[in-house]
Amino acid sequence: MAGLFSSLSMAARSLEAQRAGLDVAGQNIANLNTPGYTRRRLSLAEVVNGTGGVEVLGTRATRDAVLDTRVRTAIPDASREGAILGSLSLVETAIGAPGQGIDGRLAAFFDAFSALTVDPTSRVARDGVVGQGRQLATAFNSTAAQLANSARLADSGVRDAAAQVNRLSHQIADLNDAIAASNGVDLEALKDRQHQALEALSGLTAVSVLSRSDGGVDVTIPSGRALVIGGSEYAISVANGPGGNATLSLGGADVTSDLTSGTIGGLLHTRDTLIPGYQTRLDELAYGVAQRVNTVHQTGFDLNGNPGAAFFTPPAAVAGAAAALTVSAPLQADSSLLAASQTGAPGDNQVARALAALRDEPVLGGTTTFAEGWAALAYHVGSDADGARAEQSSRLDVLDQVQHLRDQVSGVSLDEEAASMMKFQRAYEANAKYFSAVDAMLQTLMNTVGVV
Amino acid sequence: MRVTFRTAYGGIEYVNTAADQLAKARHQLASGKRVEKPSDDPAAMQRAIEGRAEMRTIETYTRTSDSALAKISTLDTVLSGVIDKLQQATVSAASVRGSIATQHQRDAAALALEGLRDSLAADLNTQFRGSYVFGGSESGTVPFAQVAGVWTYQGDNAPVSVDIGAGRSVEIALDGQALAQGTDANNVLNDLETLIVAVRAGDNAGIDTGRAALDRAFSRATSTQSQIGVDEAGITDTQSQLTSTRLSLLARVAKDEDADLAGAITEMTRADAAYRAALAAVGNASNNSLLDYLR
Repeated sequence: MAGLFSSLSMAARSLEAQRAGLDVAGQNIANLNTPGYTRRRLSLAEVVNGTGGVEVLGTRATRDAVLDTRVRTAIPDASREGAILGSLSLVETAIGAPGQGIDGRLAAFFDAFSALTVDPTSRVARDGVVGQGRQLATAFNSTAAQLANSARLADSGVRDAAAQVNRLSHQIADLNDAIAASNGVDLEALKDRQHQALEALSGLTAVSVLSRSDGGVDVTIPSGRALVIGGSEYAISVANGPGGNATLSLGGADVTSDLTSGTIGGLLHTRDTLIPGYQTRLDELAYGVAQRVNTVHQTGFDLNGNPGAAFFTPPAAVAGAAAALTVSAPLQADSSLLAASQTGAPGDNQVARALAALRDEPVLGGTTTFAEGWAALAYHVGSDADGARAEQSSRLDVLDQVQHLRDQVSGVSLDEEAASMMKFQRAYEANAKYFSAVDAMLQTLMNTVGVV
Repeated sequence: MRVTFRTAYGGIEYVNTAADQLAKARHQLASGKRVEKPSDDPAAMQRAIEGRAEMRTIETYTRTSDSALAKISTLDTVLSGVIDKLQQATVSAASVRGSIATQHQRDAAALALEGLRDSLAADLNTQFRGSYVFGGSESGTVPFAQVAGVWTYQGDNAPVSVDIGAGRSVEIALDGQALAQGTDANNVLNDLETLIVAVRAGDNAGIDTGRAALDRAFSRATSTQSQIGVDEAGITDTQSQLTSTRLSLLARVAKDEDADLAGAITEMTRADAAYRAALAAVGNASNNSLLDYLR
C-alpha cells in the first residue's frame, strides 16, 4: 500500500475526475437546444497500476450509426413530397374553385352565343360574344402563364438546391480535412457538424455515405458519382437546357435524371412531369375550343353578308395554344364580323345556335365536352397534390419515428443530467472529505512525530 | 426507454397538427365551402365543375326561353289583330254584296277596306326591338312593301328558332309569306286590293272571290296562332321542367361543394378539443423535472 502522499494525489486525481463528470453534464445541459448535438458520456476507469483511484479515459458521444443512416434515408422521401406539394399549391391557385376558373369563362362564352340566338342583329349581343371570347382567351392566357410561372419557380428552386448541395459538399470536405488533422482532439464536435451537414444534404437529394478510417466520409449520389471524396468536393454544375430549364451535371456527366429524390427530385418531377402534363391538357382544351369555334364560325355569314372568318386567331399547334389564344383582331375591332347567320340573312341565327350548342358536344377527342376537359385537369392537379400530401404525411411519420429512436440513444435527458450532476457533486464532496482526512492524518503525523 | 429533453419538450408538432386541423375546420365553417381548391377533394371538384356547367346550360335555356316568350307573346297579340281585321274585312265586303247596295255604301265599304288593308300591312310589318318578326330571317327588311303597285313579300321562307331546352326549339320570327299567301296565287294584301276594286265596282263575283281568299287567310292566321299558343304553353312547360332539373343539379353540386354545416360544426368542436388537449399535454409534459426536487 502506498503512503499518505500517494493517497493525497489519488484524492486529487479523483477530485479532477468528478469535476470532469460535472463538466460533461454541464456541456450536455448547455447543448440541450443545439441542433445535431449528441449526448456526451464520460468514460471513467479504475487505475490498474497499483496506485488505485480513478482515471478519465475521455468523453464519448453516444451515436448509433445504424439509426443515423436510417434517418438519412428517410429524409429525402419526405422532402421530395414536400417540394411537390409546395409547387402544386401554386398550381392549385391557378385552377380556382368550381365555377371560378376557365369553366366559368367557358360557360359565360357559350351563354353569350345563346343570347345572340335570340337577337342575332343586336349590337349589344354581338359585343357580348366578342367580350366574353376575349375574357375566355385572357383566362386561358393567365392560367397558362401561372402554370409556366410555377414551372419556372420549380426550376429556380432546382438551381438554388444545386447551389446548396455544393455549399454542403464544400462544408463536408472541409470537415473531412479538419477531422483528419485533429488526431482525435475535439473530434465529436466536428462529427456532430458532419452529421448535420449530411442530413441537410439528404434533404436535397438522397446520398450514399461511406465512412473513412480517419473519421471522415465520402459522399456519392445514388448513381455512384462522387460529391465528396476526402478533402475534395465535386460541384454540381448548372447549365441551361431545353426551354431554359436547368440541367445538372456532375463530373462532366448529366445527372438530372439520376436525382429523383429529395427536394431536387421533387422539384424536377414537378417541373418535368407534372406541370408539363397540365400544360398539355390546358393546351389541348384551348386548341379544341379555338378549332371547334372557328370551324363552325366559318360556315356562317356576318352581318354584312360576308363569309365568316376565324373567331379566334388560329393556333399554330397544340403546344402553346392556351398561352397564345386571342380573339382575332378584326373581330375585336368590329363585332358585326361575327358570323351568326347560316343563310346570309341578317336575322338568321343558325350558326349562333350551333356555336351555343358546342357547350354540350363531346368535342375533345370525340368523347369529352369542354367543361369535362377542364374538370379532368382540375381532378389531376387535385389528386396529385392530395397524393403528395398523403405521401408526405406518411413519410414524415416514418422520419419522426426514426428520429425518435435515435433521440432515445443520442438525445440529452434533463433528469438524467440532473442525476448525474448530483452524482458527481456528491462524489466530489466525498473525495474532498477523503482529501481532508488524509491531510489531517498528515498533519497529525507531522505534529506528533519528533515532538518530545 | 430514455425520455430525452427533445421528446419531452418537442410536442410542438402535435400542437401544430391540431392547430392546423382547427384552422381548417373553422375555415370550412366560415366559408361554407368544402371544396375550394382541387386537392380538397379531387373527385368532388370534378363533379362540381361538371355539375356547374350543366347548371349554367339550364340557366341559359331559361333565359333564352324568357326572351323567346316575350317575342312569342308579341306574335300572339299581332296575330289576334290580324284575325280581327280579316273578320272585319269579310263583314265589310259582305255588307255591300248584292244589288241593293248604293254606290255611296260601296264607296264607304271600300274606304273601310282600304283602312283595314293598311293596318293589316302594318301588323305584318311589326317590329320587335328593331327586328321584323314576319320576315323570316330577313329581320332588317320590311316584309311587305308595295313594289310597282303590287304588295310584295321581301322576307324569306326561313323561320328563326331558338333553343329553349336540349333538342327543343321554338320559332321567334315567322315566314310572313306562308301566313299571308300560303298556297294562294296572291298574298292577302293584294287580294284585298282586288276586293276593294270589286267592291267599288259592285262586282259580286269579284267580292265572292275576295271573301273566299279572306277566309283562307283567316284560317291560315288562326292555325298559325294556335301553333304559337302551343309554343307558348311548351315554353312554360319546359321552364318548370328546367327549374326542377336545376334544383336537383343544385342539390348535387352543393353536396360536393358545400360544407355540411352540422358535420363542420362537429368537426370544429372535435378539432378544438384536440387542440386544447395537445396544448395541455405539451404544457404539462415539462412541468416536472428532477431539478425541482434537488436541493
